[in-house]
Amino acid sequence: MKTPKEILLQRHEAVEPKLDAVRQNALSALARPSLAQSWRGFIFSIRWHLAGLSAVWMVVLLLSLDSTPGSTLVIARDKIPSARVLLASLLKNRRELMELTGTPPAGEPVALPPRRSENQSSIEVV
Amino acid sequence: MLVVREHQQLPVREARAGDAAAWNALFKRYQLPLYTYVFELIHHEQASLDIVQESFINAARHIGALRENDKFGSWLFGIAHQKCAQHWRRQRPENVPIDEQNNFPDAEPGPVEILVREEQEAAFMKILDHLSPPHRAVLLLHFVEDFSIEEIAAITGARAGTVKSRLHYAKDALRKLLTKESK
Repeated sequence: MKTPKEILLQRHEAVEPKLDAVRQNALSALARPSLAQSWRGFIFSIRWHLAGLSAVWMVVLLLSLDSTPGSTLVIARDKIPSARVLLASLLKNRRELMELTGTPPAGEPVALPPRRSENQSSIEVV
Repeated sequence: MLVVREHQQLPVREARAGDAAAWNALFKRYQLPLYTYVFELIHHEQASLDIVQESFINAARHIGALRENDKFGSWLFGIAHQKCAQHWRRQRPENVPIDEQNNFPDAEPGPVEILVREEQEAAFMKILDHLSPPHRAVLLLHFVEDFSIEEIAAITGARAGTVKSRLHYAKDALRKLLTKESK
């Protein structure tokens, strides 16, 4: 006579070598750190490098923020000439252009056609 | 090598401290009963070996969740039981989980001590296989590790009353069929 436990365990005794392998696998999996643990360890080991790099980037960011929008606008505004200078240079350009094309300068009056009344006086009715 | 006999106290405290020899002893102590339980539930050798290995690794990784050291066995079987339920769902998703089938009215388990004669062994296994998964789980946990009603309830996630009625039903069915077989 056997107890159910004896029957059940005896039925699977042949699998013991495979179970030993399973046990060894489980033990070696425990010895190996998990992926999360590996990552944690890696990050922890380079924590000072990461802190240094972060500090450098913060400095770079602060410097670039300080020199970008405000100062550029000031420089640009300084470079814009006044309206008077612009007008003078425009007139100069126009004069030079007219000299080149042979057009009389803007200062001299342009020859206008004679008045209509003057023309009429020369026409005589026959 | 550290070897644990059934009557000895399990080296759970040492295992909690990360002692590899203690884990080896615990795994060695439970590997065959755990495999027997899993195999008799899912009837697939490779899947059963995988579940045993995953249960060992999970137990070692989450040992902090175990409150009482002397409940290590039922806690480990609980992990394996959940993995069996997952396997069941993957294999036959249309089936209800093994914890939720067939609720029988509460009944006191009778003092039935089952002893099986050599010529009845095959019939015993056949009868066991014919039981529904919830009844088989309860009976296996009772036979293989002699867990208490409360421990079986904790492993299977069922109420103690349900476990009691399932155990009574399963043992009664087994006894009747064995008596019939012997005639």
